[in-house]
Amino acid sequence: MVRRHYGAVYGLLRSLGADDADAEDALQECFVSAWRNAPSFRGGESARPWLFAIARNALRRLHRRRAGEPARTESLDSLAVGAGWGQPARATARFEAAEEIRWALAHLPEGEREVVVMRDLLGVEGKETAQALGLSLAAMKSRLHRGRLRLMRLLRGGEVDDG
Amino acid sequence: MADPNRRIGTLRCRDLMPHLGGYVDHEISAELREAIDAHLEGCPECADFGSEYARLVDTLRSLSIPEDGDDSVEARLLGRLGRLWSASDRPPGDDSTGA
Repeated sequence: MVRRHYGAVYGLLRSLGADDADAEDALQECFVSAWRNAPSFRGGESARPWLFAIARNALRRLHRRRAGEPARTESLDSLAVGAGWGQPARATARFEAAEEIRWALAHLPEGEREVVVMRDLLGVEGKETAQALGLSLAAMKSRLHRGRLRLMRLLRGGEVDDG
Repeated sequence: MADPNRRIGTLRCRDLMPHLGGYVDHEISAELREAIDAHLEGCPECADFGSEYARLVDTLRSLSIPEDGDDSVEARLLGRLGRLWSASDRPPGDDSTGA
């Protein structure tokens, strides 16, 4: 199982913004935790979403040791206006540029980045994503939408913030 | 921008925004989709914004995440799991870790 999944888990951690050192720390914590909790894994399901959830939690624990969680929220209308709602389209090319989007992803608040990476980049199903992140399906969808809007704002040259 | 309270069909511009993600992801009811389609037909600003949103989602879905981690990362991981394995009589689960 380790050899089959460690690369994907490491890739997820790097995509969630972990540097090499944090990604390796979280990777080790993930598989140690998986090893210890193997009896709780329901056989017959894919191990990958289960490992993704453990890895994501390990990375969050690492980050929480260093900084508090962002608490500020912004109205959807305000976020959408910043993303270009009701304004002339002017960033279309940037919306198709992989490097620009990877840069913007790196500047999303952690909670939004997790959802966007799992749903849009990795193609994890909505219910599995919600389960892995400990969110209701509705909350996961809302966070995904906000994350995409914030990406649009960043790609239009908007401010980098912590959500 | 245009008035977010402008109503076209049964929806105001503002009403559309919370459902745009579900619309692009095909996760809304047929009735709501029909209402959004009607709004977009009469509201070029929301239609343009919806197109940009959909374009971004398409690009996100096309981005690959390479399976990462080199041999040394794997070796250190397997080494740590191996030490854990050696330190206990049996692993808590079966032997499927491959470590």
